[in-house]
Amino acid sequence: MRHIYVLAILIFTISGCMDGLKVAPTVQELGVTTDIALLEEGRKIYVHSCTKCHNALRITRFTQEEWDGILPDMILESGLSSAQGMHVDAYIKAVLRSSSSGPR
Amino acid sequence: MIPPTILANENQSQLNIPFQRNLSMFRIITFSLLCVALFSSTKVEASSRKIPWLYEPRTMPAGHVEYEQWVTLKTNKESDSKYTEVRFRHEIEWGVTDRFQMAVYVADWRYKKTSSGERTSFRDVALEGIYQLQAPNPDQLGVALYGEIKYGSEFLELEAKILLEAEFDQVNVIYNFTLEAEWEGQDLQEDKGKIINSIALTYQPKPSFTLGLQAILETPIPDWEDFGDEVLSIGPSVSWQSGSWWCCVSPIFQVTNVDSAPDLQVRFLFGIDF
Repeated sequence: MRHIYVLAILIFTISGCMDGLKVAPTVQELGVTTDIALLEEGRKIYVHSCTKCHNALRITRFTQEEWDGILPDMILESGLSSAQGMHVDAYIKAVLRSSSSGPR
Repeated sequence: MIPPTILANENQSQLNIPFQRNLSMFRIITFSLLCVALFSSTKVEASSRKIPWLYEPRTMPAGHVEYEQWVTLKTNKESDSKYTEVRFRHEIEWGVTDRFQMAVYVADWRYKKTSSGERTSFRDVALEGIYQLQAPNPDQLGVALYGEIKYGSEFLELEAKILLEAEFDQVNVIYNFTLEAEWEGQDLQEDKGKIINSIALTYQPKPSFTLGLQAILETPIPDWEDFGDEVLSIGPSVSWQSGSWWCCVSPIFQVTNVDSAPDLQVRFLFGIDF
């Protein structure tokens, strides 16, 4: 039985080295100086509300145009208010802007 | 005087009648539930299972109801060359709150063929609850507690699990620790236990499509005294989701050498939101 415990520890250790923050960087990492509270709220909703149903995908996986298509449907599906939707939208735009390598 | 062979055949056919009735009834129930599910489906998103042999700590949103059909094939036992077993489960899941999910196994039944004969039999009904302590997301490990009670004719089983999940963009690592306690026979005098450690790695190239690899280690505890022979099975899985329905399938192969355990098991799950 110890083999599977070793395997479990190994897999969780390796996966622990993967940087989850690349999926949804913190507002501090974005280097923005304005609307910090709004962006933090947007990140909180992205990380905690969206993951009720599915994985939080890396934001830079999609272009702004693709997010413009995805986000309205997801806001509707998850029952977010328009204010919450605006917060998430602002956070996603800030992440895409700050991404030095650009989308994808 | 009736020849003994005819008498034996008559007895055999009489014995099969209840099983055939059960089979027909289950087919009707399954078909009816699927029809209701298909025609009343309005949700765009299903609460899909990505891997058939493990549970994930992500629970259904409050108010969602889902029908799940399970089919599990077990075959290739070294100790019995004719062994084949197909298990069926009809399950209804309900998101009570965003963190608590309940399920009813309307019926667990099985077809079993061994060297001593074949039979189709009802096994049990069951009640299951999953309470999510925290959802998996990039900031935290997903953790949930699972409890289940199964009851059948001369059969009772309690099952508890700890469900863990770490998610990294398109990759998820899932671990389940399971402890089973089972009582069987007249007055439920025969008792035994089992510990199951399961781990899976999944990769989601598209939101609707998931590939996985899983390892399941079963450790029986006969009479709650000594540990029995451990059985380790490993296999891939694939899951597909479209609109309100999803399905996943996974064959697992025994990599240990326990003659009394099946070398091949295949599980297929189909679910639909309604």
